[in-house]
Amino acid sequence: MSRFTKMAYATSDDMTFGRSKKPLSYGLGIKVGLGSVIPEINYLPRPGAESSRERLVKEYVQYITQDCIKQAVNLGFPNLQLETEWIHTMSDDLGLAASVVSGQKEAITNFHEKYGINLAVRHTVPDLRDASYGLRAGMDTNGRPEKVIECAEVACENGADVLSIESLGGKELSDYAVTTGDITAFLFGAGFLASKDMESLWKELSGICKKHRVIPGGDSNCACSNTVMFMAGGHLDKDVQKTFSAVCRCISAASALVVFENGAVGPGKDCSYEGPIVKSITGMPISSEGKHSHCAHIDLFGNLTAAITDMWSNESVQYRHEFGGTSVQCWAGLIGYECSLMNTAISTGTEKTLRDLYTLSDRGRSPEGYILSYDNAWKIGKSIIECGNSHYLRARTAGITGAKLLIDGYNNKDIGLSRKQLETLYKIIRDLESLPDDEDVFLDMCIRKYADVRGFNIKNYGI
Amino acid sequence: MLDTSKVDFNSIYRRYDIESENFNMPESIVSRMLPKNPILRNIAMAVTYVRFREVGPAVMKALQFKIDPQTIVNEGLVTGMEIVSYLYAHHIYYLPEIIMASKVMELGISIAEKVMTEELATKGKIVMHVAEGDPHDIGKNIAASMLKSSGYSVIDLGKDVTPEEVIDAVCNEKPMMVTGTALMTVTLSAFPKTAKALADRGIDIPYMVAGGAVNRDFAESFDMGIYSKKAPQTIPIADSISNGSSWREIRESWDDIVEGI
Amino acid sequence: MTYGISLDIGTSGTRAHAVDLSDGKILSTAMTACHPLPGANIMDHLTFCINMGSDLAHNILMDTVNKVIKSLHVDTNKVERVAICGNPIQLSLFQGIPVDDLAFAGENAHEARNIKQQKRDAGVFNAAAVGLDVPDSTELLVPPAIKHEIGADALAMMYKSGFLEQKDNCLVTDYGTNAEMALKVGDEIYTGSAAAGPAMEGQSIKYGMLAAPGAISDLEYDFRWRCKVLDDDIRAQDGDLYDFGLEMCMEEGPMHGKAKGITGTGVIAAVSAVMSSNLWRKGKLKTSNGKCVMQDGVYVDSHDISEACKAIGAMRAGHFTLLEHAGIKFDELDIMYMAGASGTYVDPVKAREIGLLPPSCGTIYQIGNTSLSMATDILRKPELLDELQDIANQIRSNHVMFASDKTFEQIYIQELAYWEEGMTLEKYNQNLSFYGIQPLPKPKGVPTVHRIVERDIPVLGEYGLTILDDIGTELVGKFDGCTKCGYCVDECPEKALSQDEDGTMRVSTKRCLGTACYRCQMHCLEGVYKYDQLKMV
Repeated sequence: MSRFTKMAYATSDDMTFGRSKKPLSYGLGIKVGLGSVIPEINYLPRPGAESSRERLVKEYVQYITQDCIKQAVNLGFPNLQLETEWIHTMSDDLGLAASVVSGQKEAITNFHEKYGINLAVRHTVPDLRDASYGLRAGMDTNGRPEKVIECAEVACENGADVLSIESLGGKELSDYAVTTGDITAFLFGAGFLASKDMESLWKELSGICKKHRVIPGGDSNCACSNTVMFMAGGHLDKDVQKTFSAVCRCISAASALVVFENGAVGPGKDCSYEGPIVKSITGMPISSEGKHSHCAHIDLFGNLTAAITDMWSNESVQYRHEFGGTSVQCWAGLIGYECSLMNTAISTGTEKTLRDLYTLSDRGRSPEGYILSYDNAWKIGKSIIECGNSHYLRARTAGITGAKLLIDGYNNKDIGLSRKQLETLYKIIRDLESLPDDEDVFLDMCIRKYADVRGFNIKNYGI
Repeated sequence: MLDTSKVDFNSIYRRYDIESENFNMPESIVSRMLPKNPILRNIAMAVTYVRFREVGPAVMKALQFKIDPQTIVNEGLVTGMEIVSYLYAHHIYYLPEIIMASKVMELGISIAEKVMTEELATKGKIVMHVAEGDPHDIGKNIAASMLKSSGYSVIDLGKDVTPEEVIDAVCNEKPMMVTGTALMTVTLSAFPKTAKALADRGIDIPYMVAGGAVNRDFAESFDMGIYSKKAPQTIPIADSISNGSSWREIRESWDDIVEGI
Repeated sequence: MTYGISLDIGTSGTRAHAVDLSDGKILSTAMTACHPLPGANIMDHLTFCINMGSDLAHNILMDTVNKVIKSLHVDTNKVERVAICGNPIQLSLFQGIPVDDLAFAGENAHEARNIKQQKRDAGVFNAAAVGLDVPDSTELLVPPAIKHEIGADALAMMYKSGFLEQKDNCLVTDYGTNAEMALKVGDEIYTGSAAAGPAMEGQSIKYGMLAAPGAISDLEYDFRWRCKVLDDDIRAQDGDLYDFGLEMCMEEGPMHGKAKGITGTGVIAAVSAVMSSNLWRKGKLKTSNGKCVMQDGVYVDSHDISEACKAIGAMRAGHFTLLEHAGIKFDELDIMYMAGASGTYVDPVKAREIGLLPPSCGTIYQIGNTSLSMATDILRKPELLDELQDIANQIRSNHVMFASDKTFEQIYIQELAYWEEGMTLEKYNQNLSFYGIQPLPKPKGVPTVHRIVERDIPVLGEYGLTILDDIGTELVGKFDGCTKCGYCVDECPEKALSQDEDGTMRVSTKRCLGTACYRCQMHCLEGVYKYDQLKMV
């Protein structure tokens, strides 16, 4: 069992964008975390493109991939990473998926040969599993868990440079938690169960990566904490308290860490908003999204997430035509220019100034932005590693630390909170602190308490 | 005040426009270099794009239209090959393409030659062979293709060639250079002896020796001997001889001649 | 008790067993780290023979073999049988048979020199008569050669691997300086010999060394590259973790500070790492200093990689050519036997990926040193010679001479362009289709590897292994007119040459590069130094 027990950075001020303690080289000349921020473009094919094999391969390879790279060359970007988040048509037809993966590889090879632009493709395979049928191999008569592994094999075998997944472990509890406002259910699902699931999943995925010499990038607790963040929404949305979503983010950080304790080496997944906390502990490069994800969802920390990132990304944008070109060209231009700005800061030695500008812009805009501010992220990271081995205790501590940071921030007039947001925090702290200190006792309690939650089956987690 | 002096712009942007201006697209190079006359143009294209089946008909067509066979060779086939050499020099074409294209060119020349009244004008004649007892002729074949494609006429004596055969060929053909290749060290000793025999007959031309068994020290250890480390170096050396350099001058400026190749 | 001695005379060294003839048990093992004759390959040895005389070459070799036998810890007066194996050139040197039919190829050369083709069939000879320090009655058992360069060593790899009994199509290769290879399709066997050069053995590589403590023997992919360094027991242990793309050491390992050089298998791993890190471009390393730096200052540079690539290119073209001659497609070949020390220790997955074995091979056997093992079999059962002669007779028909083969030439030219000029595999295949040659596929999936032996020589015997480092043969001469200026000594690239006070020149034969070099002679300011007048002491 490997666990991080030390912070990669001695102080939060040591963290900047474009540099990480454990940089990586892969793909065609891509160097992450070694002094420059790299744009990572995300996209989706048009609806209807999946109507035939040929059409979908063409959409991905000839249209999307070529458009993205051509735009990068047109705009003089030295680096570009593409991220293909597999759609279900690809996992349903692995032959098709193989054609997309190898087609993209061939395309980036040709562009690299021709222009010398540094390129790589991240393939994010879908987590097809369903907790109701079973998350582990052999449990699901439809073979979904096996299929996920097969997808990873196909991606790695056919030329992926980086492998990622957005795993679904703990989602059944997290969905329950967000609708009932039950932080314990979230802790159990997204903190504890997700850790167990990622542990077994990533041991296997990183093994596949090693065999095919592909970089195991990382995971995202997207299914849990991003759902909460999405529901918490903007300032007009009232369904879920934003302090609740902030604490959920802290809890997710503890489970996101497990991925890097079980073979992943980064760059983390862009939608893993807990990235700053993870980076403060692991020192591994991360990818982040922010203001350029508005094509997909609202985001209250559009600048802040850039502060200590190593790659800058958008959220999947659907391929279509705009006045200025295709949508992927527009978004590639946006994220690429953001990277140019950051790299200019690095190049002129002013990266800490820009980092702080990014951070100050959004630090008080929302509770979740506040805890993701790099100084607070570092503190949450530190509280996690001081908890020892227990996945449960790490997640619980992260939640409590996040909640207390927000209350301190409120008291110091560092961040404003509404009465309801504040009340939510007090309740969360009460709930979390009243939980047992022993993992097994907590586990027994939760198994009984959440026995009736739809889809919940402790066997899914090897317990 | 804006200070650009300390900024490393490489990580911020890359000037693909400047880079690509220096990088010529193969298509544009080819179209610029191809002959204007459409009949000759077709001949040149057959060579440049390695189209074995098209070269014969293209040359026949030119003959039909009463184009002088010398012109067909020099302005059609050789021009096509010059484009190939240019593309190779700019890392667009690779070694196998040079070899294949030169075969297309030879095929064309053999058709044109049948109706030629005088001998084909070339940059110079070169006698080539592989040492007696040595079956390894890949290196020599590559060099021969490259020389032919650069406008030299090559008398290829083949492999396992006796010194007598070499001496006879040189006396009869009067080439500007003779080359010998050896991959096996046992077969090397023939070269100095052949050179000596040629000198005794009053012949004083560069004797290029090459191949795995040969090094520069050996090549320059006997009169007339000059060295070529690999096939592409043979071309600038031949050009230098064609421009009047003696073997002594080649030895002196050898490093400059083959620099970067 | 009576003893037998089995010998494998290889281009890069001699290996021997002492065997108890009563029960066939191996008692001890001895080996040399190099060949005693000047030069690094067969051709150098042949040239030495031709220029200096076969007798001198034979005497130098016997001197070494006798030293090897003496270090086997058995009473040589009780040796009853000696069995040998090796390539035809080494066996001829050993037996004192003329080698000029092997040194020269082509009718012209043979006619001009009145060369007769030697018969190299199986036979029983007098061991003492060829110069071994054993009793006069000792028999010398010699297995048959198949043809020309394909000798008893090639027969050994076919016989000992199970290749001959295999019903499916299969390929066997003895990975050495000269790679012997054989492809079996139905009852037909196609053989060839590719001049791979010494890079596979870690020679002609700047930091190259034999498998010894401190040698980097492999690189393991751990999302960066983990150097594997041999410890004092010649076992590979974790060294430092390097990222060649970032040109950084990411983490120090337990073997940090202990690396001294790199083995042939390490070089293969380096090629694989360099290719997979996309650092090889148009025959050059793309790193900032043109080197691929590993731990403790050990590195491979563009020249080293290029040497290894030439070896790989020759092997791949050889295998490919045999397939073409046999008329089978790559996907009809699944089984591969890898023989020789390099073939046993190399990581077959990396080897397949870079082209040392056909990409279609999914069933791989690593079978060790088959030459020594067959010699030992003959020792135990002398009647085996007849059986081997029968097999050799059947195989004679399908030998492909790569040097003069058109298909080989066409493929080899693609290999040159692929490794040295950065031509793509796609273009490679496009060009081959032009000649009607099948395309070379990419490796798929992960092969099943059967490591039949743990070491290239599996059994060392109860008295263990002796490695003879100092063979100590010298060539000596004194030249009239020598001014003792010392220029020749300075010019010697291998520091093989020295001069005594009285002007006597001494050449250490195992260090000397031989006729491929001759710098001493060529740089003699007085023109009096004549290498071929040197004598053995």
